[in-house]
Amino acid sequence: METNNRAHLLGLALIPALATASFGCQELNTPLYFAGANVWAAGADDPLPTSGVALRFRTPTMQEQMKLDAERDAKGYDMDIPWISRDKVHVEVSYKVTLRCPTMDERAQQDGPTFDCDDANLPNSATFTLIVDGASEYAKYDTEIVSAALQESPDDPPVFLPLITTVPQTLSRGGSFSGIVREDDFAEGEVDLDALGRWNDADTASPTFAGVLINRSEVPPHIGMGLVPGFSISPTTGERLFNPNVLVVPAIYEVDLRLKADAPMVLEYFVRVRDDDDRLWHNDADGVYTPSPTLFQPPAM
Amino acid sequence: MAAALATSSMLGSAPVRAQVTSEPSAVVFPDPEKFAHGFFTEGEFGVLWFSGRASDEIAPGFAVGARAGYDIFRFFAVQLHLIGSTHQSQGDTPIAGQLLQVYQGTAEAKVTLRLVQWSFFAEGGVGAARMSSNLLYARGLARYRTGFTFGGGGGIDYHFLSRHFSIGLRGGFYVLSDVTSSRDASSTMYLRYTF
Repeated sequence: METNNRAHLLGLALIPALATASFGCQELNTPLYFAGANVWAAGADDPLPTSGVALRFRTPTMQEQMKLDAERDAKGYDMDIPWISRDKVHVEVSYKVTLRCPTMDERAQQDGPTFDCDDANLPNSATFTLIVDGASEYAKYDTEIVSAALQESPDDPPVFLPLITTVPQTLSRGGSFSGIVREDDFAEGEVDLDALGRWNDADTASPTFAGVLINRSEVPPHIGMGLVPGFSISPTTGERLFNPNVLVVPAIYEVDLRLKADAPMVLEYFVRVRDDDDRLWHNDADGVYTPSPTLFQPPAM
Repeated sequence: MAAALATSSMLGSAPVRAQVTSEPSAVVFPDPEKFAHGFFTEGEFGVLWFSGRASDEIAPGFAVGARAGYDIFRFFAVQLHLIGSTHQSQGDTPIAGQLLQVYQGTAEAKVTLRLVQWSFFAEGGVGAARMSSNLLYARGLARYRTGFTFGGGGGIDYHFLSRHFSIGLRGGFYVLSDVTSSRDASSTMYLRYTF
């Protein structure tokens, strides 16, 4: 009888165990994908061809806004706690670049490529770099604007200082390269953008904005992070201390890609978003959150 | 002394032998009538793959599932089925290599033909399928993450000498109505317990 009861319990245990196992997996991976419009580069383009995806978020409820305010008070912040924040919204870009001419069908599409391209004249190899800019709810970064500001004379070659960039890749004719601009890359770009936007140090003795972009924020001496909460100065040693618990970083909600290529290439991409607190807008009953970021302009302008 | 003699006398009497008075009836062993029937649960694992357009985008994946049902008759049962599977996107696209989970829940009917310890069955039902992400939407194959599904399958079952336990192998084929021109098929092994 005892054995029979044990077997009954085993049978009953099958149901919740398997149901939990299968539905537990759902929490591990719930990203959303947004397809971006293809970017066509003719080669040595000026300005660089670009495409972007602006994510739409719902407005916070009154309760959620009160929670953000309470968090701001608890941290002793001078600024608002972002609704679209890096710890809740995680962005990644999956892309593929191919060295080829557009097909007739692609040319016929609305906003399709119009440049001349002959397959026979394609180079055997060419190089590309993917430049990623974007906007948080407070600041927007545009590599072209910054490049124009840095250009001392119209004949100077443009200098690009992207928010996030990829390692240059060389493609053979007809070849393609697939890559990912990872969440980690965006996390670094987001803190840089916040440092340049909300916490920009206008002190001329401070490192330039290029120092913010080039150096990793969490690595000492935390160049350009002078005013960002979470990068406090030790009263005893004078060193800058990094405290990630205090850091509240707005996430990039608008992703702008630019393709810098030597020859005709096409960029296909998807923006992948993990939205921990269901803040993306998907219900008509909710209002759409409309941030108005300020365009970053380098001091040289 | 008298008691010892009496005992000796009893032990010394002629032994009693059983006698067969008729031929034994032909008993099927094991007797399927003694197998439990009624409420049952099953746990399964195996592989699930797509056919049609979704197969270009989604690779086959590991599946785990559970069933709970009731044998109304020995040859007919109704059951609820949940199965979850995990897949990787594939193909020549920027989002190849991404993970996707598929969850399906169906209400099914099942007919069984039993041959002693073995049985063969066919089943079918309707329900819903849900994707963990909008990956197929992003590829232009599905409008919603949750959709209607229907289909069926069959399999073979082996009952242990235990009243309650059996194992089996089954295959299934379900139409995913909200994924363009796509179906999914599964092959799983299961352990069944009947109360």
